[in-house]
This record gives sequence, C-alpha cells and structure tokens, in this order.
Amino acid sequence: MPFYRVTSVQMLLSVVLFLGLFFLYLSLGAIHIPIVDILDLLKSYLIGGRELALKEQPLASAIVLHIRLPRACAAILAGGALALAGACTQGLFKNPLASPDVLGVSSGSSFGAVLAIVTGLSVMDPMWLPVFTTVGALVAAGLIYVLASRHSSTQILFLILTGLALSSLLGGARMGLLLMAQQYEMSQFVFWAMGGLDGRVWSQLMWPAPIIAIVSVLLLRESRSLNLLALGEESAHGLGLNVRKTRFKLLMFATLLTAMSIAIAGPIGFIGLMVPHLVRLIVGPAHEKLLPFSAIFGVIFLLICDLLGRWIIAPNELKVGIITSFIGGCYFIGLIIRFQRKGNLA
Amino acid sequence: MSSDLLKVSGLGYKAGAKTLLNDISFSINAGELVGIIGPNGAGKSTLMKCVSGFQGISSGDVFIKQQTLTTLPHLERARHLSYLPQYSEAAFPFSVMETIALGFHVKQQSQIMSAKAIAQQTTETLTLLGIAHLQDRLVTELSGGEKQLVNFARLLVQDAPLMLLDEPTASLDIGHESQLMNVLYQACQKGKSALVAIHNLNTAAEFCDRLILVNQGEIMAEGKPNDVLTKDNIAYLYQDLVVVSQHPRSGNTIVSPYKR
Repeated sequence: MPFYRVTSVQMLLSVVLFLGLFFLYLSLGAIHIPIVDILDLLKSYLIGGRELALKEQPLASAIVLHIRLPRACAAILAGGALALAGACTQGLFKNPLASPDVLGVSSGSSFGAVLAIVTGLSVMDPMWLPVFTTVGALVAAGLIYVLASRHSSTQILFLILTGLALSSLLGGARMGLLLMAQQYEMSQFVFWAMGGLDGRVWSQLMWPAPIIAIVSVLLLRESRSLNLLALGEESAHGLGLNVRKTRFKLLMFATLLTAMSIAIAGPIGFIGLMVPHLVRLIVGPAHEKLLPFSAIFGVIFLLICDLLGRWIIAPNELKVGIITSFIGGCYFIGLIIRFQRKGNLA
Repeated sequence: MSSDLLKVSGLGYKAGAKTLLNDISFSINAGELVGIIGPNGAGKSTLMKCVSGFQGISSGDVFIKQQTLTTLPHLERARHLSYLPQYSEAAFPFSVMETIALGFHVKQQSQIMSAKAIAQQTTETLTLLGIAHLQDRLVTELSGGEKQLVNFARLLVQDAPLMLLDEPTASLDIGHESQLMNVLYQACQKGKSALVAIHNLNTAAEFCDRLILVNQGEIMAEGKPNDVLTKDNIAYLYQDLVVVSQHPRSGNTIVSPYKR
C-alpha cells in the first residue's frame, strides 16, 4: 500500500498544531502577552464585548484585538487561500509544480497596484489598493480565459501561453507607468510588491473573508472532479465529468482565491506552489485529503513565516513575502536535487 | 427508429477547412463487438472522440438508445457509454486501487457501494485481467502496458452497457493483448457491447463480430471480418507491403508483414 494513509487523527493533530501556533502568534511580539491572558481576554470579549475586554485588560486588549488578531486572521485567510489556489491549479494543469501565477493573476494585480499608486488613489484611501489589485487580477484572468478559448475548447497549453503573453504585456505597461512615477510612489509599489501582513485592520479583511470562505467550500466540493481530471480530460469525460464547465469553475475558484489573498497581503510567492506539493508527498494525491490539508498547512506556513519575520530583526520586521521567497527558493533547490537523484518531482 | 444501442448517422467532423470525417453512419446492437480498423491517419481516433462526445461534431448525429448524445446529462451519458482514450496518463501518484475506484463515480445514488464492496470488486477485476499483483502499486510507477490494463479495469467497473476503446492493446504484449480482448469478448457475450479502434488486423479479425474499415475519414467497407479484410481492400490500403493468408484453425484472414 502507499505510505500515505491519512486518518482523522492526523487532521486533528494538524488542527491542534494550528491552534497552538495561532495563540503563540497572538502572544509573541515586542510586548509578550501570556497565552492565559489571551484566553481570558477572548472570554471577556465573547461574554461582554469589546467594552468589557478593554476594561479588564486595556493593554492586552489593544494589542491583541486591534493589532495581532487582525494580522493573524489576515495570515489565515491569505495562507489558506493561496495554498488552496495552488492545489487547484496543480490539479487543473496536471502539474505538481504549477503555481496560481500561471493564471496571470499576479501580473494583473501588480498592474492594478501601480495604477492605484500612480493615480494617487491609494494615498486618498488605502482601500483603493486592494480594490485595484483585485480588479486587475480578475480582468487579467478573464482576458486570458477569453483569448485562450476563442475556438470551441480551452486548451491548457493556450491558457499557459496566453498567460505568459499577457504577463509580459502587463509587465511592460507596469514598468512604463513606474518610469513616470514619483520616487515615493515607486517605493510604495516596491513595499506592496514585497507582500506583507503588517498593519492589517479588520476593515481590510471584511470583503475578502466571505469570498474566500465561500469559494473554499465550493472548491472542496470539487475534490472528486479534480481526481477525475488527474486521469486526463478524455478519461474524465468518459467518467461523466463536464470537463469544460468544471475547468472554467476551477479556474475561477483559483483566480478568486489568489486575487483575494493578494488583496489582503500583496503578492506572496511560493505558498501556492510549495505547500500543496509538500502536502501531496505526505497525504497523497487524492484531493479529498489534499485540499483541506493544503489549506491548513498554508495557514500554518504563513503564520510561521510571519512570526519569523517579526522575530529575526526585532524590534524591526521583515516582510513576510521576503521570508516565503527565501524558504521557497531553498525548497525549489531541494526539489531540483531530488529530481536529479530520483528522476521525478511528484 | 430501430432499437440500436448506438446509432451514428451522417457524422462529419471538420478541423478548420479540413474534413477529417465525412458522412459516417453505422449502428451497434446489444452484445456486439465491433472493430474500427484503418491505416494511420484514417480518422479512427477522431471518430472515437466524436462518438464519445468528447469532440463536438460538425454534422450528423450520435444516438445512444435513441437519445441524442448531446442531450444526455454528462453523468447519465457515462452510465450508458464508457470511453477508454488512446492516451491516459495519471498526473499524480494515485494507487492502482484508487484509480480503478474512480470508475464507480458514475453509480447512481441508489447503487452507491461500501468501500469494502468497491475494494472487493476492484480486486476481482484486477484478477480477471491477470494483474492482481499490481493492486498495491502507484500508477506512476507502472509500465505503459500495465497502465493501459489498469485503465481497462476502470472501464470494466464503470459497467456501462456500451464501451468505446481507442487502441486498447497498442502498448500491450501479445499475451496481455489476448487477455484483454478475451475479457472484452466475454463481456460482449454476456450482453455488453463494444466499439474498438484497433490497429492489429489479426486481433480484429479474431475477436470482432463486425469490422468497420475507415480510410481518409470515410467508411470504405463494413461487415463480417472476412468480408472486410479482403485481398482487394488490403492491397488498396497497404499495397504489396503485407501478405494475406488464412488462419489454420479459425479460417480467419491473417495479414502479416514480410521481408521483401
């Protein structure tokens, strides 16, 4: 039998690991708050609302409820969404190293971000930046899909090639805009492009959160379809799958999840590629297990990376995107060595 | 309309300006094993894709039990018609058991089986094909022929009355080729039907009830194997590159290559 046989015990252990990390995340920082105090604070908050929590533990309440908890929730939403989008993209493209970036979402969102910055809208209201990045991501993904499916069926190869072409076009347009930008605008874009969770507030999570939740549930319901697609499109068709409709749905799900994570945290590299790939090695390729485990390990990974970013050069911070890129790069080198030794990447 | 299980009527398919299939008409009854033969590039695989519904057609119709194929919901279609494509490569390391179990996906709510029953039926099917020893392996570790047998096992557990198989024996050794064709033949004896695109004319002649000879996208001949595999037809398709003789036991036509 294959070595992976995941039981509910393993899922339970993953959830326990996540919860431990979550409370550690809320506890650690420039001001250490014991986990017991955090539990008391959350209890007060649940019983008597924000007023009671603020009255009983004013300092802890301000730090946890207004700074660390929204940031932790941002990490949960972005990490889970990116890993799910990655698992979905890898299943859809039948490639264990595909990344949601293939869908052209990143280039679209970067272009949107530059537009919001050079027009000055992002300075007028910080909410414009995530709005522009989301719209940019969705428009780019939509364009790629429409261009790739001009003749009857959308072929995966056309999607990839169109994605590459549009990414190149948008990359050129982005650099052209930046050339005309002021220096502070350029640095604002560079900071955004690093991807980070610092300074996240509840209002920034309000609209991406329900979209991520709904799309995640819908994607989990497509686990069987992803298994069938792994056999190849013709075989999946023979087994009664509406290949064209399913492929469109999955593309939309991966696009929305990636776009929402970019809206929350900017472009964070490698989670969508690395986490599902690693999880597949542990729990196997069946998407009924791969999707939920990818989501939870995406969250765990981003929480750890952000904790590291807050700790390495404390009291200053490293953007989480820098940490994920560094770890992702090392993982990729490890994969290349593994491929040279074993001859396969899966 | 007759009570044919499958009826293909005036089917045509164009890729751009090029006509790949033209006015193809035939039907299959319950219990029949029908072979599609023809030289490379004749349009056999395109025809299989069109009949399976994977490829849209430019003209004509495909009927399954008197219903137009395209009007059937996808899952319902798969309950009537299973399809084994020429190339089917699993992208991820699913186990052999997991891969075959996907064939049960088409079962109706009322027919849903327990995991134990699925495992039992899967093992029985693997034993029937002589590959029970593969059941604990990963599909990505199998040879091309083994993969094809696993895919055929999945087709069998799908349990559709009509099976479409595109070159199922292409990567099999002669022993497994015979085993697969015998299993298919037995299934048809028990009431299933199959349409098989097949390269090996001798295998086609031995196992098929009827042959459809396709050349340049059109049906060139149709009928009993010995009526289709005539010296004239073979000479027309393959010139003097092969010799035609008769099987000493069955009397079937044998087509063999020879050294000139």
